Amino acid sequence: MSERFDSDVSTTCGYCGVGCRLEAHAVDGRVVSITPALDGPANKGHTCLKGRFAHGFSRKRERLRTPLIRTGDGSFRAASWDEAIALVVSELTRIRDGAGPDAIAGLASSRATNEDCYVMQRLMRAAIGTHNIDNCSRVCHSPTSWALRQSLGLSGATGSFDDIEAAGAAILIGANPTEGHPVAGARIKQATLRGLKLVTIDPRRIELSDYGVLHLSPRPGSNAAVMLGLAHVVARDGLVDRAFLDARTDGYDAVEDLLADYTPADVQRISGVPAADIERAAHVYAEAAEACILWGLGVTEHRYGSEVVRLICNLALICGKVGRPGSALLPLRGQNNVQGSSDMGALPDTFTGYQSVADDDVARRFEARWGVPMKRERGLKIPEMFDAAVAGDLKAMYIFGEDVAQTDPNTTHVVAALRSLEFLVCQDIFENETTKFADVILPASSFLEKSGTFTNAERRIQLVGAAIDPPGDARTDFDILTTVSAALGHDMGFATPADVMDEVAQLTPDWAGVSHARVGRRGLQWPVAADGTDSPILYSSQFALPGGRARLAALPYKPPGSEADEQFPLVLVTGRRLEHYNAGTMTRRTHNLELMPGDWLELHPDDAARLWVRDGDVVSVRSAHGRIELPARLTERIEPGHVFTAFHFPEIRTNLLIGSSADINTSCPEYKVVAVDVRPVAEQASRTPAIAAAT
Amino acid sequence: MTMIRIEIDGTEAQVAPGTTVLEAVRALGGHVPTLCFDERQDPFGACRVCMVGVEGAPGPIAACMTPCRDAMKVSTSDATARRVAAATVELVLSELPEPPAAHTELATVARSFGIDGDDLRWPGEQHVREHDERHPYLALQQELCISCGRCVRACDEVQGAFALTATGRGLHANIAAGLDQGFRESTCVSCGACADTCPTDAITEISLLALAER
Amino acid sequence: MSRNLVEIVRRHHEVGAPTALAVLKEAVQQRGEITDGDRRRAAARSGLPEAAVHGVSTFYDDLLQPRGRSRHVRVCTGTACFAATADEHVAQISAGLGLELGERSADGEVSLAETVCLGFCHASPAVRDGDVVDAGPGVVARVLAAATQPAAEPAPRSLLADGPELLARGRDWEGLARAVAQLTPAALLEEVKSATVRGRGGAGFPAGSKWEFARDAPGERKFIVANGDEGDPGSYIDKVLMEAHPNLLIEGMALAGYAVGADHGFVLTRSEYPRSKPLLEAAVAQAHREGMLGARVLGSDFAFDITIVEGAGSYVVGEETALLACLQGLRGTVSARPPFPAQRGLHGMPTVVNNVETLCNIPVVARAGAAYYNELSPGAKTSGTKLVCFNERFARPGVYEVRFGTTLRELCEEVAGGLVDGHAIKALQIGGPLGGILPGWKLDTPLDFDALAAEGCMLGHGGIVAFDERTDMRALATHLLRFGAAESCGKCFPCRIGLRRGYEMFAGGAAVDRVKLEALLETLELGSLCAHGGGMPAPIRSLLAHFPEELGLAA
Repeated sequence: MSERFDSDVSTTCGYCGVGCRLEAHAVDGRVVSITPALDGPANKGHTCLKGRFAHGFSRKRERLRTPLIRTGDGSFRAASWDEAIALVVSELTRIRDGAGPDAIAGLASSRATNEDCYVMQRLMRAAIGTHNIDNCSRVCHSPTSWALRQSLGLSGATGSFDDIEAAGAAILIGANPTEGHPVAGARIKQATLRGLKLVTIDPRRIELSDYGVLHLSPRPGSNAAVMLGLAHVVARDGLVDRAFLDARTDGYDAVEDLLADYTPADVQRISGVPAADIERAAHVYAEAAEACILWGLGVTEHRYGSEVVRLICNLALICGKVGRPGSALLPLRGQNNVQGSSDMGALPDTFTGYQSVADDDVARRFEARWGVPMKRERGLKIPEMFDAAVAGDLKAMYIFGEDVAQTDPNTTHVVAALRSLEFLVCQDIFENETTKFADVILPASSFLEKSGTFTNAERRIQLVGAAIDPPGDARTDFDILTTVSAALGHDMGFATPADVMDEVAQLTPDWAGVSHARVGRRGLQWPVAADGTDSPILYSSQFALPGGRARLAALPYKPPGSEADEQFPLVLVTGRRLEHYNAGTMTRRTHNLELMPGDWLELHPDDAARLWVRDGDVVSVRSAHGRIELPARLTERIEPGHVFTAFHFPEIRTNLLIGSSADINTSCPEYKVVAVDVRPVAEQASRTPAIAAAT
Repeated sequence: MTMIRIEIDGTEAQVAPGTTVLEAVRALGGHVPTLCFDERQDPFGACRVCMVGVEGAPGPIAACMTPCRDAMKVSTSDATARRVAAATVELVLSELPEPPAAHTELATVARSFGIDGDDLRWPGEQHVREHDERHPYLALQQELCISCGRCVRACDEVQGAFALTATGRGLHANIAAGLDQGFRESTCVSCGACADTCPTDAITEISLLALAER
Repeated sequence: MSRNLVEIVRRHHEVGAPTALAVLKEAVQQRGEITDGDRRRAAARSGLPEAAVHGVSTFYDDLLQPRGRSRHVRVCTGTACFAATADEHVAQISAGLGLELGERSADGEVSLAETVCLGFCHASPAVRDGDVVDAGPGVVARVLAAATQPAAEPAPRSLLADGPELLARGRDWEGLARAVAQLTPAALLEEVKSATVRGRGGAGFPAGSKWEFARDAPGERKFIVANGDEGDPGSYIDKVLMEAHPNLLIEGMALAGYAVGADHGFVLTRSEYPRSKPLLEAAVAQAHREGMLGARVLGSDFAFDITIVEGAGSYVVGEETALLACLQGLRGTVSARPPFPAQRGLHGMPTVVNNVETLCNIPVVARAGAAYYNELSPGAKTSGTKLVCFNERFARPGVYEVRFGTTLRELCEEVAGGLVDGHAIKALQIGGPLGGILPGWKLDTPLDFDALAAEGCMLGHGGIVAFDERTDMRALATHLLRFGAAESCGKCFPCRIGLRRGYEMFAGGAAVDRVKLEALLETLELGSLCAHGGGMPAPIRSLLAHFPEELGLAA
């Protein structure tokens, strides 16, 4: 193969949390083809259309190739790096000196490498002097991270995708992997055809539901009731692993008392799921020798998402199904490095490895290494940043690789926040909805143009290699961030991203043995001991909590932040499509746009009949916060009373509809339950369907 | 688990029960040419190019499908096996209206047998040229299809989209997407596993075709 | 076979879904052709993915041939019909109707297709007009006059002095009764093993061993499958058994189920034998009424039922793995083994696939014991008896039960009365189109597996086709290779391409390079995945050995 190409670089995909290992083939400085690596631990020689084909964005004309500075009339002019950085430095310094370092906040990119994110948080903490740093896991799996740390100790999947093939049964709740994590979805599908008994729990009948043994469609927002119901049946029918509970957990007694209120009949009343299905699902899971639970944002992006994750841990613990091959808890991390960006401490309350900023011993270690003092109080989370901006307390933001004006909820509020800032720096690869408000735009690099590591959903740290150079005058993010930091007076002294990882290893006990040399082709699943031994399976003998015991939580069901009512009679659930990724920044600039040029609203035929909507009609969707328009498609895979769409298209701007309801523990927005009104846009709506059809 | 003792080209080896002869040869660093084999899929046994000799057997056997048996003595250079495999490759080349591109597996295998595409013993009817480039990434050149089945199996056993099928019978066997509608109208999810496994570039990336033309 | 597709079919079968093939057959029967709408419907009803359904619809002859609204004529181009007329009847019908083979008239009313074989080899040439099979003298005229009438079928006869064994009338169900009452399944299996019932379909594999593998293989359910896909031109033995002696087959299957631990059996019949399925179904219904099938066979705890499935026009579906694929509504391609059907067969479960005649041998073993069975052909190596059939060239064609070891001379001259009209036997093809050709001067060869193999021939299914002095051997070679190439399932490379190349070497009329031909034959014989490509060289080699001067070889 190599005779045809100038270079073949092994790397890791920059799209989703599966972390396919890929080979990028370049000719004349452009990537012409990407093929899957046969020895990729997560993908084993397979990949999806995004990793495989959607690389054309890297050389699109609209790529940012030069720094841009806003002019008086609101347009942008090209500038040199020196000028742009000088402006960034002078403005941030001015604001810091005037209003204090906490008037500045940073947003790290979960698409960027571990090294990029580490450098970003160090920049904010050491060069600026604030803990106001967050990343987009806030809006997706932060509830998972919080809950896993509470229940089990570590913020990551307890096993690997290999556990899917070793399991006899699995529960998949709030995720649609054949679209959001295609290679993992394919592995699950193949496993079901080999005998894996899959139970899917989702308001829609997802593709995998056709291959599973049972599908539950709970009302959006009632996941907690379903999980409590499953646990109730397990306890009632003597399927509890008493030995495991006694030896390795605390807190079952309180849980046992609570479960009395969640009989299958109770759960049916709350969630709409038939009682018999709750019984059957519990037995499918509990009776298998080994079983996994996989979940996605359909669990986390809810008001009580973090509690539901604790209830998921409860179920696995009471059945003793953690810490063995085939028995794992696998949160499907969305972005390619959303696990890693949090691991690297791009979070307001933790340093690397989830070490608390409030912990004196930890903080002193970082202070010593960086040579700066730091506060012991946490910084702002993303939603708090927007609130603070609108209030006038936050005056500047450095947003790196995030399109918050498209992807964050309550778009109106976000836009207001961005407008209120005195100074906004955006570091990105394309102009987007957020850069419209920037004062300085710095042209950055995509995953094809940088080196470093990503951490996938299996906690697997994998190498990223540069197949091509950043276009024009764009630079690698590592280069930009370290240069800005030095210009702000804090020279980190890193020559290469590998040096960054060496520092991470020194400061993070769970990453002690990590180095680029050791990561190799197989990757390393943290925790990694100093001698390089990694951890494919967690908790085989101890949980990472004091005493080594896991903690069960007695958390009752509470209703979601948004419920259907007379004014907004339907519930909107949002999710992903196969062909596009999140904001579509990259995929909409590839031929994937041809494969899926726009989105649609999924609507049940019964609702459509009631609303006089025909298949293909453009409808308006209105919530308490905003209104959008898009075509409707009728399908029976969704339950009556629900509608579904994705969020990949700025023209549709789905997140205008989402309000500020968020997870109580982590502020993860409640994207998955929004009460809406749907009606056709065109004039025919004023006539009865019979007349409309006749004309 | 009792290991199986076999001998490959004079070298002794111990393999786990269920290991195929092909797996054993490769584990020892040896080489047997294949066309319809892909390690990501179950063995298929269609190309008959992986023929090797086994002492005491009435004829050559297909290494990819044959489980190792205790005391088996395998020869990858067995004259009959090589002759039959080479003739099969020659037959395959005879059905293509043009030789396969040099980088393809088929071309590589043909070279390894020393087969000269201009001097085929059994010329005859060839595939009809038919191209489909309706998909933004995947190109289908039907005349290059040798019905090895790898694309169909990739779509079945790896991706699970079941978008491809073998069609027809005999020499006119070929493959199709969906109801012969092309990739886009079928259940294809554009993962590219078919292009990745195709040994002749019958299915390949459009960007790579463009490269070849330069 | 695709494990995933087999699993998908199994899941849908469990909830009563039809196979995709069954739905497509229905469509073509009702409307004469298959549209994409039919394919989608077949996918929706059967659960098979649409692409796979498309693949199925392009594999089977019945689904590919367009049918006229008022008349669909199928002319047989099998070897016995070729032996009778050198395919003149085909040309005459084609010219008379003004249609090529595979063509439908412009107004869509009438269509002509070829079919191989109708099982009327005793009265060749044969033509199927709708569902009426006419054959014999005057058939062409009757077809052209639209005045076809069903041809008579001779009753089968036994040559055993003490009366028919296989074809025993009035002894139905005695074997099953004895087994269910007196033998354990293990004991029955031992009896069948001791009797060494060699497969009668061609491969000759001992049925008892096959049964034992299946019995010992792990699986929730097991199945018995009767291979009624007797596609060999010149052979109509299974047709006679299925249509005139269905109870024998039902009993044999039930016995197999008893011994193996299977509760269900399937018979695959040929669509070229339109009466097989209805007659078998009627017999099954009657067997239920008499208590011979059902939840309590003969009042015992043993349950057994049988489903009849009709094929859709493919010769290679007679190979056991292709047959299982066809039963599941998939493309009838051959699967490499292992795994063998006894381990993983129908729906992924352990399955015994036996030829119809083989199964019909079991009742006598169960009734009278292995020792008795082993003595039926004294002096011969093979136990039991063999059914053979003769083509129209003979004076007394039909199906006969004979002893192994009987010479071909005795069979041809005494049993079948020699050739009609004073013709001489130039050569015989025994066992089907993949059988070697026995020249007329070697008729003293005994009828048995080894003796025939020594002459480069095979017993095969036992069909005996005689060619008289009018038959040109190059034309015969071309005919056989054309059949072979057309019926190749298309999976393995040597057969898919090699048979076509073999046909092309002979079809053009050019001189045939012997060295290249021999190399091609070696590749086919040693390289093919199954006995289709692997067996085709045998008759060609016979012709090269015995009639080289007629083949037009290059000097």
